[in-house]
Amino acid sequence: MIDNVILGFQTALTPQNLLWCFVGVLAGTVIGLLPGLGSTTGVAVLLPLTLDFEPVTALIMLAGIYYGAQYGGTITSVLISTPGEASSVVTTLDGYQMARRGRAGAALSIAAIGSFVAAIFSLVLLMVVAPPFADFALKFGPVENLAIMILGLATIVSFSGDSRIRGFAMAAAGLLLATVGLDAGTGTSRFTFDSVNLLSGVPFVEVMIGLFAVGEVMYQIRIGAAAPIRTRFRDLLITRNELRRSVGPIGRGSVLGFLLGCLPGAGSTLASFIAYGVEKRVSRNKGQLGQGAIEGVASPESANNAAANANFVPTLTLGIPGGGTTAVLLGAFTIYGLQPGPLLFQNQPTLVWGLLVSFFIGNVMLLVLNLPMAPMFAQMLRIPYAYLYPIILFTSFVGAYSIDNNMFSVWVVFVSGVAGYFMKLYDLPMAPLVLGLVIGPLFEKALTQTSALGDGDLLIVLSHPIALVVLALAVLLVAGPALARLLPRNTPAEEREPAGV
Amino acid sequence: MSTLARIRGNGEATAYAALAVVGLAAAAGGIYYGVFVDGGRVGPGFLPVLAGGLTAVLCGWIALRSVHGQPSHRPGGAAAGAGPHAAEGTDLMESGADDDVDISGRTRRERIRNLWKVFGLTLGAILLVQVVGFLAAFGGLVFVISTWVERQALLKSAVIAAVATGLIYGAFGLFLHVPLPGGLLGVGTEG
Amino acid sequence: MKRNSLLLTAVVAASVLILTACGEAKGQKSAGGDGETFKPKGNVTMVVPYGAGGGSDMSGRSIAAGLEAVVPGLRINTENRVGGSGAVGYSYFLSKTGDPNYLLPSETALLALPLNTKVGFDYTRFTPIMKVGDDFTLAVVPASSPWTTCADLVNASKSGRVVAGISGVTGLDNVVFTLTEQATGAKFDRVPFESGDELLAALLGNQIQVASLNPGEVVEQLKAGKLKALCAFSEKRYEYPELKDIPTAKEQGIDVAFAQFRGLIAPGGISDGARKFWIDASRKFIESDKARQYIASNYLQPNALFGDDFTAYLKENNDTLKKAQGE
Repeated sequence: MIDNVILGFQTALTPQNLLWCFVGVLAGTVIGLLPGLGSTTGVAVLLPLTLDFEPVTALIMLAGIYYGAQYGGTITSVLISTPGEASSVVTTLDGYQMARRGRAGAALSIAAIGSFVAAIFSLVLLMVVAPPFADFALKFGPVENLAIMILGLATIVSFSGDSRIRGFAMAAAGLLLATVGLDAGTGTSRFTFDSVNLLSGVPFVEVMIGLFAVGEVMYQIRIGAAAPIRTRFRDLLITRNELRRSVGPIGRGSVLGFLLGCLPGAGSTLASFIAYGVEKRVSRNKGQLGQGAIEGVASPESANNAAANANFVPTLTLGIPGGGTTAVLLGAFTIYGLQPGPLLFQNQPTLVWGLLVSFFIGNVMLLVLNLPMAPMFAQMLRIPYAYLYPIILFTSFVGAYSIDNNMFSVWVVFVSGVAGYFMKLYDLPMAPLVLGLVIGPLFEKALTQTSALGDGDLLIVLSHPIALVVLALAVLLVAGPALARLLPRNTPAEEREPAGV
Repeated sequence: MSTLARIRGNGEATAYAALAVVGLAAAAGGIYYGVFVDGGRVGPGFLPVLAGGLTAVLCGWIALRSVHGQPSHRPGGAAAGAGPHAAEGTDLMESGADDDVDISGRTRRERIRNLWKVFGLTLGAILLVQVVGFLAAFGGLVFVISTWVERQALLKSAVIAAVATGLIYGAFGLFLHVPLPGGLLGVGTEG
Repeated sequence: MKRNSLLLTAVVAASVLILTACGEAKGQKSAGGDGETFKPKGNVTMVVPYGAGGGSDMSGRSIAAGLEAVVPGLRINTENRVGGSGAVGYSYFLSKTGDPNYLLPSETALLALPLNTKVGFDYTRFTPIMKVGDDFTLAVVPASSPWTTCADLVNASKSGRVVAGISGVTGLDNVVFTLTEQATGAKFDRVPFESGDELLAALLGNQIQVASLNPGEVVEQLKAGKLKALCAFSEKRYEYPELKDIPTAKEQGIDVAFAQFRGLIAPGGISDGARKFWIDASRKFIESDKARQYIASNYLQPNALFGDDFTAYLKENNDTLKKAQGE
C-alpha cells in the first residue's frame, strides 16, 4: 500500500504530468463555466487532443478536466443560476439566493472547500477500500436500484416547502416528460410525433439551461432591474461562523456521496439531491434552507464531488463505469491500448496509482485556484445586467448547441426558457421537475427490470433486504415531519419558504 | 362565475389546468402503448399512465383550489408574503400598478414590453442562424438587445457584442471544435 | 566495378520508378478531365452519429486517422451529431446526399434503426464503402454458473427459467438469443438493460444468468476468472490467444452466428469516381498498421469487404435481422 502510494507520487510528480494535470484542471474549470458543457462533454471533446500523450499523462489530464468541470459548473450555478450539469441543480437553490444577497464569494468558497474535503475523503477510501466497496456495489441490482430511485424521488418533499403538493405535481410532470422517446423495455417510440430528434427523449441538460438560465433572465427583465450587487471586499470572504455551520453538511454530504457514487449508474445527481434532502431534515438551520443557507451549498457540493470520485471505484476495480464521464474515460483506456478490468490494479500499478495520486494533486490545485478566484468571480455580478443578460443568452444557446451539434437543442432551450419564465411567474418549483426528468429513465428502467425479474410481480422487492432498508429511509424522509410533530419539542415557526427555485 | 371562467381569469390556475390536461392526454397515450406486456410485466405505457395520471390529479386539484378562494401557497395573500420574493409577488399579481418603477425608471408595462421584445428577438436570432450563421445571429442579438431594448450607448454595445462573440468563437469554435453553422455567409466553423 | 554496377542498377530502377510514377500521374490527370477520378476538395467530414468517446466515435476517429495516413494531403474532421439513438446522425448524413466530402463510420444500427423505428432512411440510401470487420458475441455466464457449454444453456432453458440480460429489444445480442430460440426451441426470459456495461455489472452481481456480449467488453473479466464464456456465436473461432479456446456455437450443435459489422459509408448519389476513390483509399487503409491496431484492440474478426461485396453483405444481414425481429 505504502509502496504503491510512493510509486504513485513518483509517477504523478514528474514535471510533465504535473503540467498536464494543471492544464486539465484549468481547462476543466473553463469548460464547467460554459453552460451545457459538463465533465462528460469536456472529457469527450478534449480526448482526441491527448491521443499522442503517454497513457498516464493523458489520463491524468482527462481526470483533471473531470473534476475541474465539477468546480466550474458550481460557479455558474451560484452566480447566474445556470447549472452546468444535473448534479449542480440543487446548488442553485441556495447558492443563487446567497449571490442575490451579496454572499456569492462565500458560496463559491464553501463549494470549493466542501468539494475539496469530499474529494480527499473519497480518494482515501478509494485507495484503501475500493475492492470491498466494489463487491458491495454489485449487490445493487435492478430491485435495489428501484428502491434508490424511489428514495431520490422522495427528496422532493425537501424542495417545495409548505407547498409540497406543487413539488410533487412538478416531479410527476418531469417523470412524464422523461417518458418521451424510445422505451428501453420494448423499443416502442412514445410521444415522439415522428421526430427522430425525440427518439432519445427530451434532453435534460438543454431543459435545465432553458428553465434556469433563460427563464431566470426573462424573469429578471419582468421584475425590473435591481441595483447591481455591490459588495465590499470583506463580504466576499467566508466567515468563521459560516465555516462552522458547514462542517456537518460537508461530512454528511461526503459520506452519502461516496456511498451512492460507488453504485454504477446512480451517480452524483442523485447524491446531491439526497444530500440536500437529508440536510433539510437534520440541519440545525433547516428553516433557512432554500433561502440562501450555506448548508444548502456545502452539502450537495460535497456530495456530488464525493460521488464523482467514488465513480472510480467500479471503474478501476471492475472495469465498469460508475457514471457518464468515467464511461468515456474507460473508452480512453482502450484507445491507449489499456484494457480496463478487474486486473487493472495488478497489471498497471504505475498507471493506476499515478492516476490516484494525481487526483490528490489536482484537487489541491483546484482549491488553490478556486479560493482566491471565488471573490474575483463574484465580481462578475457587478457587470450591469443590461450587458450581462444578452451574453448569458448567447452562451446558453451556443452551449446547448455544442452538446450534440444539433439545432434541435437550441429549440429545446428556447421552449424550456419560455416554460421556465412562466414557472417562475407562477411560482412552480423547477428542481422537482428536473429531478423527475433525470430520474425518470432510471426509475422506469429499474421498474421494468424488477418486473421482468419477478415475471410481472413487483413484490419481489420484499425479498431483497437492502431494497427494504432503502425504502424505509424513503418513508422516513417523507414522513419525517409527521413523526417529528409527534414529539413534544416546540420548533419555532419556520419562515415561510418561497417555493420558486 | 363558472369554474372554467374563473380558471381562465387566473393565470396560475390556467397553467395548472393546462398541465392537468396534458397529463390526462399522456395517460390516455400510455394506455394505447400498453400498460402491461407479456402477462403482467411493466410495459411502455406504465409510467406514462402513472406520471400522467398523477400530473392530472395533482395539477387539477391545485387549479381548482386556487380558484376556489384557497390559494395553494402564500397564505394570507400575496402582499403579506414574507421572504425575498415578497416584493416581486406583489408585482406578479394584478394589483401591481403602473407607478411601480424599477431603478432604471421603467414602469411595469415597459418591462413587460421589453420581455416580449427579448423573446421575439431571441426567436428571430435562432431563425436567422441558418441564414447568417450562429455567431453573427447571436452576436447581433447581444447588440440589438443592448441598444434597442436596454438603450445603452451604441459604441459600447458594439464593442461588448464583438468581444463576447470573439470569446465565444475562441472557446467553442477554436478550442472545442464545435461545428457552428455558418449560414449562407459561411461565417462559422462547420465542415 | 561491382559497386558501380550496383549504383547503376539503383539509378535505373529509380528512373523507371519515377517515369512510371509520372506516367501514372499523367494518366490520372487526363482521366480527371473525363470526370473519371476524384479527389476531395477541401476538408472531409466524418459524421459520427453517437457521442464522443463511444465505440462508434473511436471507430470513426481511427478510420479518419488511418485514411489521412494513407492518402497524402487528405484532411478529415470528425463531428459528432448525436441524438435519437443514432437516427439524428444518419438523418443528417442523408441530407448530404451527393456530397462526396462526407463519410460516416457505420455499424449495425444502419440496419436495425430502420427496421425498428420510423426513420427517413435505410441502407440503400447510402453508398457502402468498406466493412472493416465483424464483432460477434460470446455467451457469458458468472464463473459460479453450473453451465459449461451453450448446449447446457439451451437444455436448461427447456426445463426451467433462464434469465437472460439483453441490451434493449433492438439490441444485437437480443437478435442472437432470438436466433438461438428459433434454431433450438430454447426459451429465454429477457430482462432489458441499456448497455454492455450494465449487463456486465448484472452478471457479476448474479442478477441475471447469461448475457451475450462482444469479446472486447468481456475479455478482461474472462482473464480475471470472474466470468466464463460458453460459446462464440461466430462462424469460426477467434484467433486471438485469449479467445481461441472458446468453441463456436456451431461446434456445440447450435447453428447460430451473427455479427455486428463495423464499416464506412458515404452519402448516396455520389459519382462513380468518388466512390472508387474512397474504396481505393479504404483498401490501402485496411493494410495499414492503424487498421490492424484498431481491429486488434477491439477484438474484431478482420473480414474486410469493399463496395459491391459490402452492399451484398448488408442485404443478407438485413434479411437475417428481419427474420429475427419480424416474427
